[in-house]
Amino acid sequence: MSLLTRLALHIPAPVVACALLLAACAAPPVQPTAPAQPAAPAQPAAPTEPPAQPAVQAGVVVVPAGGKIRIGGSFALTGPIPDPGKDIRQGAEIAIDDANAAGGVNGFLLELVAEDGACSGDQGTVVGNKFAADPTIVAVTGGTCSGETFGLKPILQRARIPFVSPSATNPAITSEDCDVCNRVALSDALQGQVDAEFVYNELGFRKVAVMHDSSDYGKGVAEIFRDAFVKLGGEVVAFEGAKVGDTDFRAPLTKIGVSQPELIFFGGYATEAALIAQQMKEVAGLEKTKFMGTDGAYTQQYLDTAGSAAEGTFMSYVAGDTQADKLSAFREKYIAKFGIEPEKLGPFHAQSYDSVLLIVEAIKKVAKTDSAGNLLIDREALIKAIRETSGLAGITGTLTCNPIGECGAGGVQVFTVENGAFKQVYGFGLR
Amino acid sequence: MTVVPQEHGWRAQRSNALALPLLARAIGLLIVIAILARAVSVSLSENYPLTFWVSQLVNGLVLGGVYALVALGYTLVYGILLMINFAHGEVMMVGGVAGFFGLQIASSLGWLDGSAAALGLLFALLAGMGVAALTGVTLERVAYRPLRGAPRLVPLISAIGASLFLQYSVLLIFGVRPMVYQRPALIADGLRAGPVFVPYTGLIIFVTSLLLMGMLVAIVQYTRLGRAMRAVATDKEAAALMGVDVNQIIALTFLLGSALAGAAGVMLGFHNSVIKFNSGFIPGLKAFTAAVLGGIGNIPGAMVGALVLGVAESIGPSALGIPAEYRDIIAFSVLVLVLIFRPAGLLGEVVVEKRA
Amino acid sequence: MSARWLLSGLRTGGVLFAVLAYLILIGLPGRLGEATVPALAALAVGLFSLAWQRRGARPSLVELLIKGVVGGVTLSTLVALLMGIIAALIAGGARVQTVLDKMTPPAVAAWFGVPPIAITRGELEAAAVLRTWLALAAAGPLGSLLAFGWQHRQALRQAGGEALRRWLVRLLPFALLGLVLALGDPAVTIGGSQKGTLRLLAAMLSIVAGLVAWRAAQSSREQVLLGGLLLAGLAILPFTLDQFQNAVMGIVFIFVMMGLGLNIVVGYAGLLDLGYVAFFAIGAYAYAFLSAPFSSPWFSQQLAQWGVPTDQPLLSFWQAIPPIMVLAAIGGVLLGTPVLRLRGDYLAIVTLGFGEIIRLFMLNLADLTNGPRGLLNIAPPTVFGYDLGNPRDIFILALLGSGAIAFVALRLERSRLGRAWVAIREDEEAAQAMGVPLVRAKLLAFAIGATFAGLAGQLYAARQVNIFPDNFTLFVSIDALALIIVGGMGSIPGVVFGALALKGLPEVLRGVDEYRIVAFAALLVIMMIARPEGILPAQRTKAELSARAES
Repeated sequence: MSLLTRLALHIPAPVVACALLLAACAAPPVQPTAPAQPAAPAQPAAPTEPPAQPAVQAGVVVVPAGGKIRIGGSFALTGPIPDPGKDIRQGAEIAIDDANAAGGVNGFLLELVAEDGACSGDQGTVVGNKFAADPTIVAVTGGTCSGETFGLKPILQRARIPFVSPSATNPAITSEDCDVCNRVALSDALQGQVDAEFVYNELGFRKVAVMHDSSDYGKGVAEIFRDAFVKLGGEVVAFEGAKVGDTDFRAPLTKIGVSQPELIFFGGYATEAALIAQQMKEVAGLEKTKFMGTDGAYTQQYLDTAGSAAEGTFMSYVAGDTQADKLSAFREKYIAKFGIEPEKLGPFHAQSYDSVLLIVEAIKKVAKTDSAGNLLIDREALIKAIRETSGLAGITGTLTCNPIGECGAGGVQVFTVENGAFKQVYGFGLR
Repeated sequence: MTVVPQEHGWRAQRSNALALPLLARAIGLLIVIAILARAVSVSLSENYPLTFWVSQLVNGLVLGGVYALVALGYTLVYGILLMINFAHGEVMMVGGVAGFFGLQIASSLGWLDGSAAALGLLFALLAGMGVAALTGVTLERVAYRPLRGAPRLVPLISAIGASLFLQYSVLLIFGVRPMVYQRPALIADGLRAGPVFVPYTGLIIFVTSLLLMGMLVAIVQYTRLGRAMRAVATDKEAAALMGVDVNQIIALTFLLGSALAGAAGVMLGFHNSVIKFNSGFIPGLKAFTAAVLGGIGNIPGAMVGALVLGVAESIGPSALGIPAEYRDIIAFSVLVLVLIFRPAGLLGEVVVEKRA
Repeated sequence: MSARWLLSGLRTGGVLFAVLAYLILIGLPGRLGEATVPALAALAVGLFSLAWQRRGARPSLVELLIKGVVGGVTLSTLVALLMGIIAALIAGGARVQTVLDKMTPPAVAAWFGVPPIAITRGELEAAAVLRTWLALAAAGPLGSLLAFGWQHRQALRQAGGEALRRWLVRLLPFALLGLVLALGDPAVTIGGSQKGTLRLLAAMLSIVAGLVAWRAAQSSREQVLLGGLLLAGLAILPFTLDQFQNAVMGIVFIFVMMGLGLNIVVGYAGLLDLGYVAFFAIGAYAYAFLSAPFSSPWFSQQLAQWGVPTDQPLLSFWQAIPPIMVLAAIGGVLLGTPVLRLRGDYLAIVTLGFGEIIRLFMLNLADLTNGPRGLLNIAPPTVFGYDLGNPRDIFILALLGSGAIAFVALRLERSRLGRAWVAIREDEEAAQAMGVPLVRAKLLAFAIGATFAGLAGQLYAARQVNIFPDNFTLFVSIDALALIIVGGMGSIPGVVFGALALKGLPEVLRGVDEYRIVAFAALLVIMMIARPEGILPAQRTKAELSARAES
């Protein structure tokens, strides 16, 4: 009897049975870096209520009585910014909890279907296809990153599923021809502009180099900065691209060092930004050069990775118009549920909460209960309702969506790193 | 008389360099000339200052040192088993991870403050080398030894599986966050000679690489173990008849090669400041390219090939006037071109005669 | 005698400890919860049993039991130590999770069967520790018993059972298909909330059972009859499965198309191609350019210069098929020509290099391919204005594509060219000496294989709507190769099986998605050691690769 057959027969039935049991017990799909949730696998396989899978009737989502309203979420749980991604997901979960605690929508509870968008277009595509093939998904919060959201965009457009992104900042994510594309974060058109003004006016620099990570987000904000800076009258001596996941930036840095710019502006995420800030110090010609990063790097991860090299560097961030009382209530719940302060992970938890809030409020406006006790949600009506959100009081301020889907409030803030912590030096809300 | 197992289908590669048709050789030569010409013309026109070239060269040598350590592992294994250890890059990564933990331990024991940092760094290096060596030996025992006589495809697939297994196990066990190598104050700065700047980390890496390479060459050339290794590489059966424990020698070869790779992993950690689960993949492939470039199975060849590749990768994009992102393409192109036009590599392949 | 048994027990216990420690550290306790200890204990029983069996040796029950007890005690003590240390560290306030990502208090608590708060407070009752210790320690002697029992069983699948077995094999696929249909009825509630997953699994198993039944057919008449019925069953599937299930089956069959193409290169002609993904990428990117020209900056610029509108697809899906086939074939010839003289490992490495170079060019030529930002909004296939981009229709197209390619592959296998390939694979020099046109045969293999991959790529791009360089990494080549290896080299049913196992099964087991790749990797290694010819190999390959077991 061949080895393989013996192997197959000797791993006893209990193990196979356990595996099947596991498949049956597994709660919502794919949570790759979720901390262990013993409650989920330990639950019995068959819930006491009949399995309530919502159905679709020609553009209307039908949630049967006893079922849950399913909101999809695309979060960057793996990839360059796993901590901020986790933070965004956890913020969304708090929002769902709050909505359910307040009775849900017409008595129907909500459920978050979290998927890993990995901060990349190809994973965003996979997630988008998953949601599009699932007729029970009503709306989506996400993606976390711009590239990821660009992957979602065409697919969700075709499937008529609206999304609200808490943190994707590339300007082209919202556009005139996309009625499902919305976001709470501010566009990089603003961030790049304010950053250029900061460097030109506040720092007084005239000669800078621009780097990016070739991602939709990084290259996007870098281009906006470059164009704005040139328009102000400054000189951009280099525009170098690296890749997400690169760890050795000495080659482009050495090239830039030849021109000895006063500042290097980097559009990209935390790890790459930190490594550039660190490796700059080893390159001839860059001894006096300052470093500036953008909101994708505005995280604890950047500070940890760069260590002492982060001192004196600058960082911009698209801040919301944070309401202190709402934020502290949110933080309490967050810390109670997850055992860690949200700021330690990332900066977009409040925006994530608000994006879910926006969706839930819009569902409330369009959901109807039929005679059989099912909840009917018309897709086109929901898309319109989200877009017509106005005056909604969220943690990040008053949310009102303009005709192309920009719903956020707030402004751009610029920080510097002092004694290992971020300190605001310019921009929106500076006291 | 021992029966040599027949290799069906996929036969051993022999060095057929002499038989290469004239046309192909001409094309190969033309490609090399074209590349050199472009490099010269770009360098002359772009007018980079000397410090620029020196910095790139320094960087290239540091990279080359790291690649050399890994390339030696590839070449040793190929010389003995005629197989490409696909998982070798991952062994390097495991060494880098172990080095990270070594640093953490050293730091908590206070071995990274002030001048005691030398002790801490040494500890990290040894930790990396030790764990990597263990991984390599286990790898050989579990994934390769059972497949000794099989057709070429089989151990190759097994190696690919082992490579993926190591990568994603590290991802699962240690999480997705990059592991950040602390840089003790002792080695934070560097040498300055005029406008040229050589960071201490780079210097230390290069010197350590040379030392380790030297030790390996000494072992292979001058010790009994080395003689046994060379014997097994020349003819396994004859060596067995001479009383050499072939299995043990093979395991020891893996041990040595993996220890070097582990050291390379630790150095990579210092050079790049971060180690992730996939930090071994591309450098592993590049190191393999280096081994092939120098002549697979040839120890000095691996070192030369690695240095050449490191420098080519560093200077290449600037010299050829193409963006820096094309570095990886340079490495792969070198691999492909060498294997097509000169499979024996720069220093010639150590031809292992298969006794039929 | 006894000392040796003790050492053997210790050693096996140690090895099993390494295996179980690995499974614990990659997060199984967090996943399985309360079921962890029973599951791992059961696994340990099986592994112990396997370890105690030696070919030809028939150890006594006493020997086995002693080894079992020693092994079990070793295993459970070591595991208890490990978990105890971790629990103590957590109780002491150390943030274990920042190093060992999966060792959270709930996970450790799940192992011991206590509430998480007990771990954080350090109140671990001795009874819980003893319980888990006993469970694993018992695994040792239980494994011994199993080994002993196994050794003394005679092969009892003899005589009488034979005819019954044959009929079971023939009926199984249809029974499973019936299950799929039955589960489609909303009134049926077997499996609860996982009904959909169960249904998908049943569908995949029915296809596998169908393949096995087809190959086990006794006469060619039976084969044709059975084949016809199975194809009919297959045709029904897309119309009964739901969107998600169809989406999974769609990607499975796209990979079948790829696998069939690679099967020609590797399986028939014996050319080890690790860069196969390059042709897949060529097909996908070519279709993306043709159907979403606005996505590529350089391309749309050029077209704008010639006054061609760029917001529309240039060619429809069907119109794009011939040019893509030609393009892929040319690619195959271009990549094949330089490597004609290489064999074995070197061929593998060079093709790997080519594959990576193509991907890097796709990544870096951002003006043409939009780099890592990808090409977006690719048009779906349409027929008379009817959009075929939905999962069900993609599945149907993939089925049709697979069928067409399988037909061509089968014809080729039995042609002169096919025989030439076999000759080349067996012994290149002899083949050349016998007059087989080496260059032509090899290039044709590359070209034809590339064409199939190109077609698969085209369908893939249409299905995905967006494509990125990251969709075409080395891993995809390895995936395709693994399909063939695991499924069975050189055989068409093998490719289908491989695709179902490696692409379909992970989707079914979505709850354990993060273990997918390690499981895949471990499977590769295990398969190579245990059964290198694959599960459903072609007869010839089986003979070739199994021969080594005898040498």
